[in-house]
Amino acid sequence: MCKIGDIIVIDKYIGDDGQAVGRHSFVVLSVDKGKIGGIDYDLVANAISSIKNEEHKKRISKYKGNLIINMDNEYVKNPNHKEGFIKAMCLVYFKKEKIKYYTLGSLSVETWEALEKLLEELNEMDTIINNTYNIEEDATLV
Amino acid sequence: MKSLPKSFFEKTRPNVRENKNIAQQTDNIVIPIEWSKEVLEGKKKVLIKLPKNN
Repeated sequence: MCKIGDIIVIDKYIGDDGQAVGRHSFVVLSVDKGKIGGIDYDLVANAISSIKNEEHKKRISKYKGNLIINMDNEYVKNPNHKEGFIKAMCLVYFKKEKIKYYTLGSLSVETWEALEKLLEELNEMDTIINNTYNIEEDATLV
Repeated sequence: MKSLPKSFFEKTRPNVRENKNIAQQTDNIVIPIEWSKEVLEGKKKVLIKLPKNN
């Protein structure tokens, strides 16, 4: 079980380039059942990424669709990688029965509010894209 | 936490399948976060915050 604002790790998912990626972290945006393009889903999430270094951070910060986040030292293996970003501009759709996931924690209320505001702004600018690879009939994720 | 409306998630939008260039323009590569042993073992619950200077 997971809820809005939770941080989850999904064992295997299909990334934006169509390739399978192992053990990636996401923030949960919705757990309601629905249909997108005629296909059922019951989980929508944004991918969370680590930031490698200052140069990477500069590039990430240029794009309106990324929300920079901070993780305390105690949460990450390498304290140099405590900064990350939420890739808000891409909604990733899942069916819970097709994935293996576990919950690690959540966003602070302040971070959720910033993400929600950003998503609304991106929506108004029509700059959000959908990743529906993971709910398609032939997606093999478990 | 307040949820976004269902219509937000069911809006017709470009799909990454046809728009890989858009995804790539936004520094598409996502790097997995390496969580500490305590987090992975469930001894510490993660709370993600905004950067202090945000």
